[in-house]
Amino acid sequence: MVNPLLDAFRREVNVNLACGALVDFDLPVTSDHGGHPVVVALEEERVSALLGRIRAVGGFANLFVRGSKQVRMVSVIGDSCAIATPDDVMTGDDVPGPTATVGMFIDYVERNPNGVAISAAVGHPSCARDSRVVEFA
Amino acid sequence: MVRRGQQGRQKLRKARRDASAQLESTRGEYRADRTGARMRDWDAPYDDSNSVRLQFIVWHRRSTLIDFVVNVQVLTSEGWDTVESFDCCHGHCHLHPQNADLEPRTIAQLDTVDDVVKAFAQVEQEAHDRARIIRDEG
Repeated sequence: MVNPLLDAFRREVNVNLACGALVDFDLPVTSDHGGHPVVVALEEERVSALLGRIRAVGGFANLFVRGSKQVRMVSVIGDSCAIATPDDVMTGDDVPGPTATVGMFIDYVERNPNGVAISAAVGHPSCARDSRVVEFA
Repeated sequence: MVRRGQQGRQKLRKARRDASAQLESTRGEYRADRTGARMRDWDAPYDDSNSVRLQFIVWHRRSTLIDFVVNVQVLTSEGWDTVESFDCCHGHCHLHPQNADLEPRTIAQLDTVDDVVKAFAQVEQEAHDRARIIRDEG
């Protein structure tokens, strides 16, 4: 499904990385092929859509999420790259359910500083971690 | 006196000179020096199945964009195929179209490093439009 808001946000990320507030920002996640996949999402989207997007780029991604007031960046990295064992494997009591939004999922990642394993969803031993707010120009 | 057979050849030579001069006139003074510059690259998928993407390769010096390449790529059985490519060589930012027989199309003349940032804005718009059209044709 085509979402003009997602297209606009994708463009905003690309411009900020090339000549905006993120010119000095090092993308932390590298794919198996040596590239740096940049995946974008909106907080109000379903988390299932986001997981599908991450799966499609190989399971590892530099994830940018647009909310109503802020943009957050999350690293989706291989389990083997994570220094600490992920805090959660999406089995806790307050785990985001199938109808959860991307915003709820990122909030959950923030509550688990060592990361949240999402291997089963993305087909790779992956975890989402290091959520941080990024400022755009 | 010019013979009738030579007139055609003269006209052809003149047309070639004019075309060449016109092409040269869109080329500016700027030449990017990538030596010691910081290179970064990233891929921006344009659909949920990651079948169309933009690939960005940028060079910065002291946080200033000095050069870039933007590739519009589609996934094929052989891997990623670049269908259109934008770059900043030879003093002009230009598009290399999918048809290799066609001449590159100038997007912007480059005379100073400031022109590179302006050209990037134009290229980002064009590349976005192209990727969106390919995606929406599905």
